[in-house]
Amino acid sequence: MARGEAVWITGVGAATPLGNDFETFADNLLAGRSATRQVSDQQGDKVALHVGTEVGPLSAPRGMAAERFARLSRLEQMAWWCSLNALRDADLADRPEGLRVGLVLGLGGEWYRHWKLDAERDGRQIFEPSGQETPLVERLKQDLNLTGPTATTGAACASANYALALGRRWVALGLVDVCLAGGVDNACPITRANFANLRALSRRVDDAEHACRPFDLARDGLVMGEGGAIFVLESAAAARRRGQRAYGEIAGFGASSDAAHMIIPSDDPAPAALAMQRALADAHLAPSEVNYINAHATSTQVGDRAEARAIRLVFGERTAATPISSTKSMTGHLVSAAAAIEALACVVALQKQTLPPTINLDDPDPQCDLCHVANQAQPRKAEVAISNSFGFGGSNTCLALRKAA
Amino acid sequence: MESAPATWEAAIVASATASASLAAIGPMRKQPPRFAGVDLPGHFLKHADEQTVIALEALRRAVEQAGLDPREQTDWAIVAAPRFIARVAGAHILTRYGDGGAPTVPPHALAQNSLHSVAGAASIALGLHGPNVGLGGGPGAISDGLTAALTLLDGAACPGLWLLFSQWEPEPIPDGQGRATNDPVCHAVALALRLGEKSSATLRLTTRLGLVPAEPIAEPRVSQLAACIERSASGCPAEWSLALDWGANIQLSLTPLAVERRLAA
Repeated sequence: MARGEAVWITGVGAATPLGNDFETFADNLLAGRSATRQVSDQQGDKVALHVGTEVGPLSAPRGMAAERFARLSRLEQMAWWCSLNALRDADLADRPEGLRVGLVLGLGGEWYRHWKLDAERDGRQIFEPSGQETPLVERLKQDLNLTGPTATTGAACASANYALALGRRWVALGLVDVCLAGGVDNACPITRANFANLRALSRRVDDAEHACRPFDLARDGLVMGEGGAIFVLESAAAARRRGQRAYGEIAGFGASSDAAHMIIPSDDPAPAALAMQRALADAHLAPSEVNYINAHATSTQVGDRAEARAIRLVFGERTAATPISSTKSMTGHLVSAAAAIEALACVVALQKQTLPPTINLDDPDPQCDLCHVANQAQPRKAEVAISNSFGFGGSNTCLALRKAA
Repeated sequence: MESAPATWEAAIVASATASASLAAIGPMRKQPPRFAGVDLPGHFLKHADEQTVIALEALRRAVEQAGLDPREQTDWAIVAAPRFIARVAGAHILTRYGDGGAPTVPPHALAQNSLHSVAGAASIALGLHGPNVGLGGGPGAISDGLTAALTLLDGAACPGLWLLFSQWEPEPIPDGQGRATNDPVCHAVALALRLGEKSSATLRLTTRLGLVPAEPIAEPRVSQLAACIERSASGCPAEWSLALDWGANIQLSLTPLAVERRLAA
């Protein structure tokens, strides 16, 4: 493709707590429905109660035998579901020979999850290395008969933004004709226990639907979820040649590091702001052109305020006029896949010309004084959206999406 | 259909290796490396994965040997590609969780023992504000890391990039108590790359799309990369290459400075 040419999203596959296809996800997102429920993790005679979100039952996607699909792990089912449906949605289920399709997945805890699942099945792979392990991306590549490069990216809760950025670059550089990119994740009990012991999880187990309340004064922690979204990326020219519709353009990407702490966001808003500024510069956009911000805001005291400070640094006086919401209030926090499902929320905003809300935002924190889309979706012009995702290790990312021209 | 070759290249401006047995890593945790004369907190490596400890040691050596000042690299990126990070810590956590449930899970486990952990720790150690990201994580970590390092970032937007690899050889056989029943060695390599530049020390990705190797490709090891770097450090030109199954080749060429000057003369 020509240097500088746009990279479009031409297919979407989704397995989310709000629905397993684009339209259902969009309907539930814009209706402000919470997917948060009470979940319990049992280990022996000990039960830990949490709030969380889960993906509903998945049936075998077209082109895959039901028995084979049923044998896959939950994480694999979501990955296969999203990939196959994204390819089908992009009219690439039956591909021309020679089409180079790459695959990049944001998936930060693959091997630990693999070992945990193996242990639940009385396996001992973590104790007895076999040398036979195959990464998820490689298994997908073989199964879907992909011929391009693959990669797994890990930046904790920002993993999928890196996957989308790398997929976009591979298309832009001509390394691939098409790239599947996104993220999948499912919260295992040990992951939930880790966040609970950090005191980062909401403790509203008796009021689950209202547990996740980003930017609200009464927020008390995040809600972990599972799911994923995988996109088909290709050049605008290639998509036009195929007569393929575009969900939107991945117009820019920016990333930075706090260089401060492995867990706690920096007090200094400048590094997180830098990620947004880099994304806008990459997309040749001014802050005044942004119609919607999908915030990282997980519903923690420290994180939401840190992000609000960074947004004010980037948007200045425009902060009060730039609508923002955290869709985690409905979906929960999908960790490695969070950026993927939030890119999907931005695509919904661009496609439906309606901005999704932050639900449970009853009493906005004065230190998060932003232009909130509170509790109800807002029909609005949406040409440009940005999506923030920040992760452990001080990793800050921002993806800019634009309505395809 | 085979396409014309395309090349992405970066100059290698610093390189170093480090390795240590599991037993030797314990004392290293108590003395975090100094970069540009700045001390990290004494507890910085207390909960870090062993691969983070060794990768930071390789990084320290590369910085010192090349006389680099991280304060002049604040916009540099970090790509770190560990292989099977967290096997030792993970076995310990799994064992404890099986016995005592959720309260036994350490709150720092995800932050310190995941794919992002080496890159995140390195960005803090060096004080860098460029991107930091983990690549790979399992078999294929080296090819993932090399490919991403050369293609993820635009050289115009990112002046340089630290590329870190780490791997146990052999894989530890953990006992569930944070110890190993064998004698594994953790290897790490640190490379400093200037993107889009040419040099006699280069990392190069060449694609010949459509030309796929007929034979299965053996997984490369970090110790092989380390051997190449050590050969170069001893004054010999050194090369290492890796064929990729999608029709590409990655080549590491290291010409020691002394040889480079002799050739130039």
